[in-house]
Amino acid sequence: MTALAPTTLTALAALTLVAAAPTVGHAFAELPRYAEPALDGGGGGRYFTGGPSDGFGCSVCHHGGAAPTVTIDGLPDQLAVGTRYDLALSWPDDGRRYALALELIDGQGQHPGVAVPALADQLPAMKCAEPAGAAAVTTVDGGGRRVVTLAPCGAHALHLSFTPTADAPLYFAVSVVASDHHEDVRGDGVLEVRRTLNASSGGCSAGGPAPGALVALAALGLWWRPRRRRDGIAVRT
Amino acid sequence: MQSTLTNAERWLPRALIAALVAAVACTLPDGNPAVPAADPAVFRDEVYPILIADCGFNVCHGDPTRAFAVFGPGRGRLRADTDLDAPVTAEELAVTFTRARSMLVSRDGVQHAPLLRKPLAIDDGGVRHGGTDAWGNAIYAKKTNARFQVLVAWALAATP
Repeated sequence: MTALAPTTLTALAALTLVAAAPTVGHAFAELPRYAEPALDGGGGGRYFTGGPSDGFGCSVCHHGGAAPTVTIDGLPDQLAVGTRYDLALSWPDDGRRYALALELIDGQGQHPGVAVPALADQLPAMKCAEPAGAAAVTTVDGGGRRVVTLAPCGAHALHLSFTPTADAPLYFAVSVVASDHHEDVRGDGVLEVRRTLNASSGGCSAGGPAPGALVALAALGLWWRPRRRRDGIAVRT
Repeated sequence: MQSTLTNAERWLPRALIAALVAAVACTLPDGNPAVPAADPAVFRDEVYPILIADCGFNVCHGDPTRAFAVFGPGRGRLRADTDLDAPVTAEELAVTFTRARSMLVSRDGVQHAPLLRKPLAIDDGGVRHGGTDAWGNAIYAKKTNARFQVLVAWALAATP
């Protein structure tokens, strides 16, 4: 193959693109697609939760719209082994279709007993609006992970629970897309939330935190409270 | 009257100017390193599947305005009328190959080329990369990563 100078190569690439319109992306919202090989257009095993196992969330493709506001209730500041935690996510009916991928995972890549109510036990808000009453939530298990996905069919809430079985931090991640109804990735708003949930024994010495640390934490709390409203998420613990 | 230039019409003058500048530049002994002659078959069979999976997202290297761009199914398509799920076209593969090959250029040798340094964790010899995720993890945490090793093998086999 003939060696070309970088500038020539760049120009040839540009010429190749001359007759081609810029990329138009498409929605990537159908659950089975995530597990398919990337060569076939799938996620290649990446569910885009934004968690440590995936790395990336939905924002690597969807972009351009206003970030949605999602309320998350029940996310604990500190974990206790054997305690069941109930999470509730909700979002307003703003005319957009919401989809999400969520997971909780520990440092070994295992999910902490994540469970979603059976369809019969789900609130109407968790189910599809079209077709009415159909399941919007699906869980996918693999390699110790449990990914919770919600299809863009008009649901506006998600309830789930988890139960830590080890005294170790957990990593929570959810990636939410608010679609503008066009079958492409442009014009969609994305919210990605990531939190490290500390174990009950994590971070403090045997004698407890120093008084100065408590003051710093209080100051951090005062600073953090207004900010966390600005990133499109309201977290209530 | 409002102008309704197509994308091709907008890009054509720029591309021609770029080609002219490049042609002139090629004749100058400017000392730029040549683009390594990498194997297109190995690229198609082994490298491209990794790039489309790990790099080709629309907001990342699926963006055609990026110097290093990757086109294919389930990601950005080179042509707007290509179905999202259609297999990679010969044109997409050729453009992606060209862009990837340009990422093998380095004055310090191909082992220091952007394709091999950008996705790698800084702690293991990589450099800063916008694709580092929100947890601080690089695309490839270690040089020993099997996918990274495929890129390395292809790059090092390229002749200057």
